[in-house]
Amino acid sequence: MKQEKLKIGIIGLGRMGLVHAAIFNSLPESEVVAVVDPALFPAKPLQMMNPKIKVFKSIDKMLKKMHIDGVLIASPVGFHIENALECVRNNIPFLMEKPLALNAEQAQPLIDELKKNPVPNMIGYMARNIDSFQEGKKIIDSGALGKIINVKGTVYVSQLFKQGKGWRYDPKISGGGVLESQGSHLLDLLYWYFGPVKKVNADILSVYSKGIEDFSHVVMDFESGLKGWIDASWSVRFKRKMELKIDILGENGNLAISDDSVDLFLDSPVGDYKKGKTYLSANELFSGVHIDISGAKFTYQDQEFIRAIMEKDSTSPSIHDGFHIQKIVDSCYESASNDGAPVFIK
Amino acid sequence: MKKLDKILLGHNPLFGVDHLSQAQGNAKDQKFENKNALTDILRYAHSKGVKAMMMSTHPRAQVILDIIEKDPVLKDDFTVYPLLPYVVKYVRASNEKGMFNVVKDLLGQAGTGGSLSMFMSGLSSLVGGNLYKTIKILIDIEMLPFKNHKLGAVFMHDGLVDLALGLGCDEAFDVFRDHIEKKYSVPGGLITKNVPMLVDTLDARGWEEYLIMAAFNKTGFYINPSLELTEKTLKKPGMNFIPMSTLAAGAIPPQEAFEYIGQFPEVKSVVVGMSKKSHIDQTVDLINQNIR
Repeated sequence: MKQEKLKIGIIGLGRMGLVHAAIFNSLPESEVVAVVDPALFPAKPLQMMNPKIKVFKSIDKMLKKMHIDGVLIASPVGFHIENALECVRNNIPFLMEKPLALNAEQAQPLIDELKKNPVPNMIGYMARNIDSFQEGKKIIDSGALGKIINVKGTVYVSQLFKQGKGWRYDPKISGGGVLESQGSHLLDLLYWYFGPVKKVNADILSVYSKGIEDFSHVVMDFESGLKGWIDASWSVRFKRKMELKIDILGENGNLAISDDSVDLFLDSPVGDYKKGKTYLSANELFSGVHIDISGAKFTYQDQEFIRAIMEKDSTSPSIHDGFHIQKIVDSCYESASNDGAPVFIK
Repeated sequence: MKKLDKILLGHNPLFGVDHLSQAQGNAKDQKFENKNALTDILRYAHSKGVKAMMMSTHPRAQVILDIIEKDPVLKDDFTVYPLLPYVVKYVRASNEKGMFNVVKDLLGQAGTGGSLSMFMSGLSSLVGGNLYKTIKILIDIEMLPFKNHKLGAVFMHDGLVDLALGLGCDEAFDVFRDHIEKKYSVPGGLITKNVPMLVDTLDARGWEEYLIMAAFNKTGFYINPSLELTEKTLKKPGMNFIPMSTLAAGAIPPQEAFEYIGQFPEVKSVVVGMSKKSHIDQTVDLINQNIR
């Protein structure tokens, strides 16, 4: 007998909600049966074109009326926690867009609830699914670089050159500026590669925005003893798309990873990695996916969530991982408000 | 289906887009901020037999359209293949003010560039929930910059095609194709990153002829779910296929790339970004040798 598809509900039909809805609706194991959005557009037109998708004004109404196997939360950040709590209380696995919350304090009830009822959960730090950063993880875990001396990361995009409009630029709903928005992708990658962060010193600058930062610079100490820094801005020119880059210096070589390349240099060969330069381009790293909508990284992410639902398993990255990132971001804001004084992650 | 131009000049290099390297894209962007450089490359391409260009409604498209319209040679002998909509513009705007307001503001543009009746009709269909009428009016608004130009075909952007494909909104493909054919008397084509899945969907809708543009190259770069399945799909009866990313972002030498494309008789046109005269010379020769 053909196995029934998992029924997915989408909370928030903005750009990310639409992308995930399109992927979940076309994967062989899942289908989208409901969307929740208080705004009628584009939810109503979507329902007109695909009558299998029902539209609700609240998550509560959707869960009362429909059988749902998993939820994608893509509402504005300020509403993430209340939506996720609703899922946990109803035993429904959820994938939440990043970042986790306005701050760690707001997120604490969700962490507590998940301890009591650990439904499969995932946070949308999709950079872990970019081919080049996956390859980077393999190289780092192989130990080929020897002892890591330091690490630096940058994330830049040409997004904002005047006061922004909409919820992303309102700190009461977004929780922060570029550090919370794009910088957190970088923090997640470094946490994935090198483990938890112990201490930060941060500096932020607002040029175009009020109440949120357009530029941020963070010096970080990892629990492992490794030191590094990151720089993030959404107000630099000539970056049509978000550009993530990580440079790692090790005793046996260097590794530079960008969105579409991996550049490794080793003094001595280690395992499968040869001495000298190894360069992998986007072309060599590419592999086809079931459906590509706005990049394979989102497809991999949604497939991982489906796997977690089916196997009742934990995911990478989980809400717990997102909580650590949230605490780093909070600590950065605290440090920046104290002239860059060191702040230990609680 | 009517015969399309064999070589379509791609817009990316002239708009400063390089999928492999933002730095290279930026260099090209700066070069082609200069209108003389744009005119020069368009005239040279035309002199070598490249008499068509695919373009979105990127801000620079208007500059290119003005050059074509005012040029004594190009104005009567250059065909434009519009690509709708310019997704980046809408993504940015909808992040700021929500999708409904983007559509409403877009309809507002019809008041200046089109006609008041277009605006009124669009607004009433949007408010009244007449979705397909709204789509047609949005298409007409996007088509306004092209009104004085010779058209080859009109394509729907992959950002929108693939979203509609995934969401199961495939009736939109019929609406798009039928409207383009009826109103503009040229074929309506679809650009996609997911050729086999799209063609399966169109088959289920009863399509017997397709005009599809997608990445196609021997290394399988940007091809989903696999090169093997995409090659098989290309061979279906009724297929009119225009490959792009033929050089796999520079990974395949041009000779090898076009020899591979030449093995598929379903390919009668190719879109290729060219920003240097030497590149035009070499590419045109290779395409003419390999594609009949």
